[in-house]
Amino acid sequence: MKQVIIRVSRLGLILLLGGSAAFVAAGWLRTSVERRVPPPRLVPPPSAVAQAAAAVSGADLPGALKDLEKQVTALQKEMFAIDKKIVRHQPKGPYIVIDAAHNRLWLRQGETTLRESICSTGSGKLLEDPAGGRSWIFSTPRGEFHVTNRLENPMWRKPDWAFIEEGEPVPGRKDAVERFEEGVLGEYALAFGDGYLIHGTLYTRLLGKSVTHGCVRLGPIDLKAVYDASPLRTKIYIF
Amino acid sequence: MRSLPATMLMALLAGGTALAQGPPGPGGGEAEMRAAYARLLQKKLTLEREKRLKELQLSLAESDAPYMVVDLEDRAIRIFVRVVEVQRYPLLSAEMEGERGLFAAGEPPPDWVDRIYELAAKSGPRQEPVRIEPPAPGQKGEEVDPRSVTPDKIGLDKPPDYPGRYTLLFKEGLAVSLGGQATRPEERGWVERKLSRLASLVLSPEMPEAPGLDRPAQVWVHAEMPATDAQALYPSLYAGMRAMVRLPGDPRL
Repeated sequence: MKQVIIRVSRLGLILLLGGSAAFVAAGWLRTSVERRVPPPRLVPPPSAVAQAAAAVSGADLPGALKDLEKQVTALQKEMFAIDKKIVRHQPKGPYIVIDAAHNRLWLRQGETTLRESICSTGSGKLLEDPAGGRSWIFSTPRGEFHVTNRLENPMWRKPDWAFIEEGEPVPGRKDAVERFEEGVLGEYALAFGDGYLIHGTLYTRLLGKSVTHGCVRLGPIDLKAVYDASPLRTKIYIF
Repeated sequence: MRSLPATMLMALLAGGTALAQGPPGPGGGEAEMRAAYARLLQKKLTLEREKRLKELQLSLAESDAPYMVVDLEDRAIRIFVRVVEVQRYPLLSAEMEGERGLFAAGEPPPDWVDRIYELAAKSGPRQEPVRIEPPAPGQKGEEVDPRSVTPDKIGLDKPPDYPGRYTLLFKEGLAVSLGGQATRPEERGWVERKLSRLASLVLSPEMPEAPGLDRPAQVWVHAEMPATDAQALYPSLYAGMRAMVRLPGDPRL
């Protein structure tokens, strides 16, 4: 008899605990569902506006209407001024967009994509000068730039990091002969400031990978097309 | 005149139409006048909102740094530089959750809404730069064919496996959880859809560590997007990136 009582008590306890847990879980889940709502609107829908219009008394309506007209006209003038400022930020003519995360370059005009190319951008790697003091992170800069120079058959003037990376002594002079190397940048280059270029490559098989020291590399056909379509001051947007 | 953007012309045209439609003449009835009032009021509210959004966008466009628009009207995460949209990732769904409840239409918006946000942190693996080890003095670097601007070996490492679900935590009290399933909802069966929904409710998104926040997350946007898109978007987002939110019903940017 005692055993039966103990078993019934245990069963009751298990049922009680299980039921409580299920009740709490259901309540929590319901709260979770309820607390998530569609995002709110700041511009009320026409039905809500019609309700607001219905609340204006008939006698006040003509005056309210005139006031509203004035307000709308003033707002339109303000919008006109803002739009003029926005227009100043819009590129005129073709522009270049570079996705440095995915190594893609687009030549665009307005909303139209004229050309899509696979490029290579900065590796994001860090080089420190063993002699101390200096370090470089090889990233492609993000933001808005423009073509500052157009070069045909560009020659590469190797910066200090190129020598350090290869374990060679850094020439003291900036115009030392050993700094200059031909043919490695392809047939064309578009400079966009601070030493960064869009240029060609000997290693077309690496296009699509983040391998450069910050410059943007293109294959020869894409490079020629982008170069031909990009006069000085062409906007370059990198993200 | 040629440089006027189409949106500006459309706004002027729409405004002109609204003004032309009202007020009604002296013979017009009260109902007609009331309808004209409602049209103008709608126009005014839309213009006010459009003005506010464009002011926000203009202040973001003052800098040349890329910025993000969490677009809950067009259901997309959009990346801009200046006023040029450079990338767009569609959202499959978006819900919100707030500590104090979300405001009703017509009420003045609380301070978390309608402002510029700054990304404080994102969950997922942190990207530390890989160190390049130059050869010891007197030793030549590993020979690569032919001498190049960049040795071939750089960057040939496997690309990082970016997370397909993560949280963006903004300094001003907004958190945006992004990501989702490998497939779109319509490609899933009923049971899978329900289980996915349950999982998104039960499993809280991972909260990134973000020292120096102005305040803890007050409002959450839970946005679902294909995991592949979330992975693709991940490396474009960086701490310090600025953002704005476009709410449902908002005018175009």
